[in-house]
Amino acid sequence: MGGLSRRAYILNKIQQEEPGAKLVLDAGAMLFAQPVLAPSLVTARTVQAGGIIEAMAEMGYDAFGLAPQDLVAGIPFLLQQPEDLQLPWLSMNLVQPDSEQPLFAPYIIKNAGDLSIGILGLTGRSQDVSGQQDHSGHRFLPWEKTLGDTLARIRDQTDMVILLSSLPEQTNREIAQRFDDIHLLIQSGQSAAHKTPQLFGNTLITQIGSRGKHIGRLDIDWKPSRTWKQSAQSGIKPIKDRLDRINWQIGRLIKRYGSDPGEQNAQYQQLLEEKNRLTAELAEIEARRQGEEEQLATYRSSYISLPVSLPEDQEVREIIHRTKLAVNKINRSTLGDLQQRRSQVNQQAFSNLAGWQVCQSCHKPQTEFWQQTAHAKAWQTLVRENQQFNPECLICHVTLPTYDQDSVIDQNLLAGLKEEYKTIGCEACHGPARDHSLQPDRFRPAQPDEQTCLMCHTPERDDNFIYSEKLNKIRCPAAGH
Amino acid sequence: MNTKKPDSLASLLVLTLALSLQLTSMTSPAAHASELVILYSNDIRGETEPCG
Repeated sequence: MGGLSRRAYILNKIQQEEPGAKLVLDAGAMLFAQPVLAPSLVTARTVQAGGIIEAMAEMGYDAFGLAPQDLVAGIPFLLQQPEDLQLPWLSMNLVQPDSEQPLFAPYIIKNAGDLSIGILGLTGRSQDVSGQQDHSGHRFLPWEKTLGDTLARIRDQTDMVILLSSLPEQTNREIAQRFDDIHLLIQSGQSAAHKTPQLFGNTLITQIGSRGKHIGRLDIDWKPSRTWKQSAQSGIKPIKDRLDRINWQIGRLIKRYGSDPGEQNAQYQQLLEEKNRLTAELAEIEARRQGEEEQLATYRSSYISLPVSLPEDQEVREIIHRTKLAVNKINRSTLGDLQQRRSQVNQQAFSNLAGWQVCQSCHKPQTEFWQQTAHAKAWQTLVRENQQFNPECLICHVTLPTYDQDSVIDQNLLAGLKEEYKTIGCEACHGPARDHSLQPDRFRPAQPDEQTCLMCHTPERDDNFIYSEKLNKIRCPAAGH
Repeated sequence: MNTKKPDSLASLLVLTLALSLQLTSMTSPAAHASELVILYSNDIRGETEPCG
């Protein structure tokens, strides 16, 4: 799933085939996976970020939020890109330390159809990034200090206001409740999952799952009232909830006292009176709102998946291919450096592995079956895709004593990878088996389960993973050997 | 003097037209319903394409 060339293909297709007003936005956390990277990864990842900027410039996005994950290579990296790669980054609170002048545009006003739309950016402050601020010439202002003024500046010029924010989710909700005139808030830097758009006050907050597997889409019917229909109707909900509760209580009394609990039952009378009052109130509100309803804005939300079966945009594909070759070259050199400094490679970590050839000597049918599976060919897949030196890809395409990414990087395990481990071998699922190979009856290998698979087949990497279906493709024959 | 009169009138007309256009373009918010599609992303996190 995913890929920038497929993203470009879909965006182009929508632009060409669907008439009408459109905006294409990114809320940030686009360039790097984390706000801080291991020093050995920074060079390769920065080249990769350059390729992403080039690809995104090709796609004609209207605006980009700026998150801490976009600042890993420093602000000059963004500001000093060639003119044609200057993306419309937005941040009202990332400022110069002395003058407090924003380093990027605080907002942009775009015309879409006959609408004038104000788009603003707020950058979240990562704790990890804060230590670097003194050296990188920027400072974060609290959102309270900038948002109100910026909104006041654009309020009269716009029909709709959109905020791209990498602030914490709770803060985004607080902003939404406080500012009715922010109509849409797209957030970044949060959990990896999709979030169904949700209204807080008159602000719709949304985000899509991470790592570029999908494109979020909102089809909006905007009205001069600048009020979401769902927001206006939220006042009815407490009345309906109370009526439901009353009906349930009345039902209980009828069950206890018969069909008519009678005038002597004070609680029943009280509930009946409240029910009549609320029913009348609800009818009055609904009658009034029937006229107003046509004046309220509505939206329809959907997600567009980017499966690998989609065609690719050729220009973006070329950019990514070029970038990938450059990144692979750097990663290869980094791994080569590490291998030369063998003392830093924790060979001890591999001492519990036997290697699939050793397994084969006793488990021939199982090994022959495994050799036909995609697991056995996982390394070749990386070579074909020029990703065989990419630590983020490597980790799940080889046999390692651990799949914890941090410890793999800390212990330089990828630099110590021998040829026999360049495959998803038996021990990738069954665990290290050196002891088992020496004393089979005393040490039994682990029986993998769904959790074992999910170490690599995470929803982020493989959202099509269904354990019961995939198990049939890789389960070794003749269990019990 | 008479020869300048048509020029002044023309200038006045051009000015009025320009003002009207300016006012029309400044008419905001939009006075009627508008359909809009927003396509969005977040947290691409350095992912250029799947590993393989």
